[in-house]
Amino acid sequence: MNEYLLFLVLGIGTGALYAALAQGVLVAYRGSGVVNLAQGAVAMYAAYTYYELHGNGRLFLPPIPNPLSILEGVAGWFGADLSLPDIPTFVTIKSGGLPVLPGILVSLLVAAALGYALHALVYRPLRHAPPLAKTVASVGVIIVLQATIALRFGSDARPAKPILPSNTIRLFDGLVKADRLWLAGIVVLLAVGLWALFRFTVFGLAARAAAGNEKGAVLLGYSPDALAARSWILSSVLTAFVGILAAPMVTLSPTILSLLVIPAIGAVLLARFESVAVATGAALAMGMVDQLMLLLLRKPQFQWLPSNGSRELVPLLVIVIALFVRGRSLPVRGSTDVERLPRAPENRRVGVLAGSLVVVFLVGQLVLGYEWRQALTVSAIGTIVALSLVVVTGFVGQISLAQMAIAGCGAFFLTRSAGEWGVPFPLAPVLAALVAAAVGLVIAIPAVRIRGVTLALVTLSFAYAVDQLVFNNPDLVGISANAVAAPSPSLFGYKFGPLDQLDHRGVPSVPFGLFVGIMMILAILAVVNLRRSPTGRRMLAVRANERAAASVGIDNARTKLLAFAVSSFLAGLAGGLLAYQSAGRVEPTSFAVMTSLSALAIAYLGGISSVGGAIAAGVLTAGGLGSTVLDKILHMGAWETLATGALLVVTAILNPEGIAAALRHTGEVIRHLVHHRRAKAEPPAGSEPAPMPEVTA
Amino acid sequence: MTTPLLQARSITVRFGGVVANDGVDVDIHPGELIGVIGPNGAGKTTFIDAITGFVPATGHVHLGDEDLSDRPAAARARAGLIRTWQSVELFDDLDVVDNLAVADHRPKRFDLLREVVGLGARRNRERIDAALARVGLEDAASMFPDQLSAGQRKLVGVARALVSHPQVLCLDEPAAGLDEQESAELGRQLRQLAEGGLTMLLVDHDMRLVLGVCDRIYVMETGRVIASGTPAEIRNDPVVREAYLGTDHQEAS
Repeated sequence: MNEYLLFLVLGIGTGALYAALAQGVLVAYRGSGVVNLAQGAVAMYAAYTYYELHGNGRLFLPPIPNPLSILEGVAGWFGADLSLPDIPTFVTIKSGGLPVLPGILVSLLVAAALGYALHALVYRPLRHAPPLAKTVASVGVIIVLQATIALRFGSDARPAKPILPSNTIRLFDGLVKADRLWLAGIVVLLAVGLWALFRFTVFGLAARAAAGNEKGAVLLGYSPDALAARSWILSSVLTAFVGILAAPMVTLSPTILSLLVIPAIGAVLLARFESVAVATGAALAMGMVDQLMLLLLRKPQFQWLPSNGSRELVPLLVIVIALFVRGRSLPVRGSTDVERLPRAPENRRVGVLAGSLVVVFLVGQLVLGYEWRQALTVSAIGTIVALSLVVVTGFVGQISLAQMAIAGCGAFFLTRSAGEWGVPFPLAPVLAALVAAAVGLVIAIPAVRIRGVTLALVTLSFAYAVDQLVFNNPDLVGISANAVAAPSPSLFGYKFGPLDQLDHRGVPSVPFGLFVGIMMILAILAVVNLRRSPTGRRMLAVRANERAAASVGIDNARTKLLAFAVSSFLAGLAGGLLAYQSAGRVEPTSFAVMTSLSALAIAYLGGISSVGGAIAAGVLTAGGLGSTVLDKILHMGAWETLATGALLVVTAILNPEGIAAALRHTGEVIRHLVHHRRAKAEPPAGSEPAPMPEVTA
Repeated sequence: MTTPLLQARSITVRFGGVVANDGVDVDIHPGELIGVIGPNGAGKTTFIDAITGFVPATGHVHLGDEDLSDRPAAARARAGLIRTWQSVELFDDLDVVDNLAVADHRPKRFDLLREVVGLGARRNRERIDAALARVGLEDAASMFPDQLSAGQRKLVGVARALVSHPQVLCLDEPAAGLDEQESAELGRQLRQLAEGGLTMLLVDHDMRLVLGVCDRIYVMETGRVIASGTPAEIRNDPVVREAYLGTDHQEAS
């Protein structure tokens, strides 16, 4: 018995970290109405800041793109080796390291600046934007912060020196480190402080009023803007403080701390985004359950639990249960007005589109070198992933942050069915895609009741669980798993895997590239047709207005489920292709949580609601045509992830229809200008020229 | 008399402590144009919300032989109980034709398989254009809702309801925001639809419109029906005069 109590106490440290993140999320939400998925990333950023200050006495600076590096790249084309000055990356404050307290103080100042930057640069411009844009922007923030850390420190986890007293205490027949108890005490104190702040100050009253309706804060003489700014700063500092103290318990890594926001938001959901006490308590409890799971997994009677991933299932279960028990969605904040979602245009000239893609792939695969053909293949698969997001997020407005996890389920099933059970080629990938569709349907069940950022969260926690449960489970995936690789795809004895039919042009083989290209074009045609069909119109109707959709007889739930199924089918197809690409195996890194986040990021960047956008997204996919250009021609490969994240935030704010729409508008402007010049020669026509479409790129 | 096409029995809606509809009974016979009038807050719109399934309500709703009482809103709409919205509620992402097409089309099983290969059902342009012509919006077919005036949007809402295969059409304040002339034109259109055999329930503030075109009228106050009858009966009903017309006589005359 004591053993269980001991593990519960051990979990109090993790729980305290969850609780601090939960408090941060809650404060930011109270003040600004935004659910900040990047809260964990803020803690991570602050922790790195502190440990660099404390360890080496240096403050690292966020990377600022250096225009000179383009010059270096261009010079590189001509064989010249220019080294122009770089923008400094570190500022040394005190060589040999800053003591603990000043270190924490400077880090908290950085966190405050970061919080204000989040408000001023990201969320204030988005205050009237639909939840999709806000969610996408917070994904962009995560990517930017992680990429910054990866650029400065690399992405490997590193140990951190404890700050709190780490002597051991005897408790329940075991040893407990004191820092965990300290941390829990600090978090409880913070909770009391926050409670008092919300209860007794004008700021707290305004925040509570604003949570119901922004006008409420205005009536109290508090501008919603000032309220939001202060909340963001408070939220960041709070999270950063505990993040710094807790980092030694979870090790420093760009991803681990960032993803702890998932259990934290689970706790906030349980608290219905209202009670600090409930959120703190729930988060502490989740941390304790997490440790308890560690113990249970070692017990013989719990052998049936999957050794890997069971702990990650806890937040998913908590979130799903919270949603079902505590009622529907988040309390919707009454805002003055909400902007529309990006338009979803029909494609008119499908023949031209398909024809030019066929030409690009034929010529590309037959003529280009292996690097570029590889890029073309990666871009084609990326396009299919983006298409899957166009269907579910673009057409129906449901945010999925689990797209690569679903794709991975398809990949996993393909390797099993084709490799071990000998299911033949055309059937195996189709079955795999159908399995992915079934998985997608299961995830979509909560989507029937919820939407917006809450749904994003459910899908994210699903991706988090599946990542550990399947892709990082050495029993199932990877070299050590003695799984048989899926054989190359083949028709009538002709094999066209990436390593078949090789000639002097190298890997991947030309037939494999063409096979992927054909699959992409088929997927594009299917989505184009879907958009033009009655089902596609129903999807857009549901996205636009669920009440009105119901009033003309559209079954909202059915339409959403259908969209998830179609989308997951496409994702599963892409997953199967990825498995074929990595020689019939499942590459765990291809389906990690962060890949699902960047899949949405890139799809949104390209244009979330159009087929053209999906193609643009394919070009932007990591390792695709865009990054090859960046890497091979501009020599800026290291900046790619950072640029993606930053562009994503900018896109969410300025150009929600994505790159595809910007290109389309530019085309219209050019056509208009050409037309205008011709028309000048003639007397002015009766009708006024159409107003110039706005171009934002 | 024929059996009613729509039977609403003891419809009761509570919002917290407020009883917005208190045991409302309404019968609508085939081909009838029924009006519901009453002062602000009488529960007229709530009544439409209740019978079409958009607010939780107790009581029974029968459409023909079908019991719709426990069905969700979309299923009631598919059964033919169609409504419009006071706040119009068009699909902003679809142009006018597609706003109607999405209401006109009834999906069948496995449609999706035909649709992704490009063999999906086409828009029924004949039906859609007829509905647009009926409300005088032929020219707006390819426009988007945000390019239309408030009055035009309202008419698109009516046209969309007309192509939704209604057996009973509930109109929620269709004349709100229309000027006198447009309102009179709307009245003529409604009368024409009624002559064509469409059964309708009309909720509106415009007394002249309701008294002028409806076959029978229900008068509501604080969630209850206080009187019902032909327009002539309603005009002369002392209870109605007392409760409604008396206080609001200027507006009514």
